[in-house]
Amino acid sequence: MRIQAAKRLLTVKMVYYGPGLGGKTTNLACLHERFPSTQRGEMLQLDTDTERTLFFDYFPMVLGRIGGYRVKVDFFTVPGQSFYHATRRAVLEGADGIAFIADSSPSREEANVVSREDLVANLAALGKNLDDIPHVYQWNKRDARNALPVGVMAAILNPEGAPSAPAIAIRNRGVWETHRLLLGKVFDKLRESTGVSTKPAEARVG
Amino acid sequence: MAELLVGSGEHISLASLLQLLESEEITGWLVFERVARVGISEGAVVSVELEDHSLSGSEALRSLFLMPGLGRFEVAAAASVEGSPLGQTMGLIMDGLRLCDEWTRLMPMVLVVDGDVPDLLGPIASKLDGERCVLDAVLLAEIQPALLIDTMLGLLEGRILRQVGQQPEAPVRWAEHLRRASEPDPLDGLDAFECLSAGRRRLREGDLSGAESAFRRAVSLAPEDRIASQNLRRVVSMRATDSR
Repeated sequence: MRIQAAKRLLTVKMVYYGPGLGGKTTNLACLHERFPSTQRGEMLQLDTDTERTLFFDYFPMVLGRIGGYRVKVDFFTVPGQSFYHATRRAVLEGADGIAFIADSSPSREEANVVSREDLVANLAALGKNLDDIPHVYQWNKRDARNALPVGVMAAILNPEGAPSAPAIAIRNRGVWETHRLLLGKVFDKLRESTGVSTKPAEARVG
Repeated sequence: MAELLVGSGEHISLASLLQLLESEEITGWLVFERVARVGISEGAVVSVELEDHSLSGSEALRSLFLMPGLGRFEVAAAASVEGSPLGQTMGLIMDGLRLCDEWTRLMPMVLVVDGDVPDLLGPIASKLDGERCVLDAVLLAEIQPALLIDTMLGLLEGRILRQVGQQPEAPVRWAEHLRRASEPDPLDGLDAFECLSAGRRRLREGDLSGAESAFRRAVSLAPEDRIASQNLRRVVSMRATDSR
C-alpha cells in the first residue's frame, strides 16, 4: 500500500495469481468492463511473441475515498508459464491482496498445486507469508466437464480456510463476488493496521 | 539540477525506481554511473542512452533490465526533459521483466541453426554450433542480448533454431560477466602508448577480447598510429580464427 500524502492518494495493489490459462485475464477483463469508464484506467495487456496466452494484464481504478484520501486500486495478473519466475515475484512485491484463480478442470489439478506452491515460495523469498496477506480463492471453470468438487479443491489448495467463491469467469459469474471478497479482506487489514474506518464510497457499477 | 535521490542499484531495482519516479511525476535525469542516462518527463521515460552509446531509446531500456545490480545511481531534477514517452511505464517495466525471464531461459541453451536466419541474428548464427551455449555466442559476438531475445524465441518456435543441449551454469557466468563489466575500466585515463602496452600485455596473457579493447582505445586516441592499427587488425583476425 502506498500513501502519497501530498496528493492525498492511497494506492492498493491487487494481484490475480494462478496457473496458466486458468482465467486470470478473463477476471480482469470482466472487472474492467464492469467499472465505470470515468473511474478506471486503460487496460494494459502485454503479449509475448511466441505464446498464445497473455503475458500480463494491468489496469488502475479509482475506487472512492477513505479518510480524505482517494483510493486507487491497481489490478495485476501474473504470467502463468513456469519460466516467468522472476516476473511473478516482481509483481507480487508490495501486493496488498491476492486472488488465487484455480482451474476446476481435472487435468489442471497438478498445475493448481504447483502454482500455489510457487506463490508461497515467491512470498517467502520476499520475506512474506501467505497467512499475513489478505487473499481469497476462486474455483474457476465450474462448467468444465467432470469439474473437481469444490470441497476437494479447497482441501488441497485452501487448508487455511480463506474466503472463496466458485466462478465461471468466461460467463462473468463469480468474478465480482471474488473481487468483493478480496476487497473486504484488504480493507479489514487496513482498518486493523491504521484504525481508520474503511468503507470507501465504491464505484457505481452496472 | 537539484539532486533528489542517490542510491545503489543493488538495493533498489530499476522497476521500483521507475514506478517511484512515475508516481511522484518527476522531471529530470536518472543516471546510473558508467552505465546509462535515463530522461524522465513528468514521471514518464522519454529517453535512454547507454554510456557506451551502443544503444538508445527502448532497446537501451530493455538492455538495462538485463543488468541486475546497476550500481550507483542518482536522480536529479530538471526544469524540463525533451522527448515523448517511450510507452506506459508499467508496460515498459513488465516488458523488461519478461525479457529477464526469457534471457534466463535462453542463455544456457545449446542451439543449432536449421534454416535461414534474419540479418539481426547474423553476428551470432555461426557461433550457434551445437557446442556453445547462447550466452557464449552472445559474449563472443559482443552483442546486446536484449536485441536478440524475441527474434531467437520466434526462431525456436518456428524450429529454425533447435536446442541440442543445455549448460545450466550459464546464468552464473552471466552474473560474473556483469560484475566484471561494472568495474571501472582500467584503460580509463591512459594515453595511446599506455593503451598499446596494455593491449600487448593482455595479448601475451591470452586475453584476446581485452587486448582488442585496449588496441581499439589506442587507435581512437591516436588514429595515425600505425602500430596500434596493425595490432588491432592482428587481434581481430586472431579472434575471428578462434571463433571459427
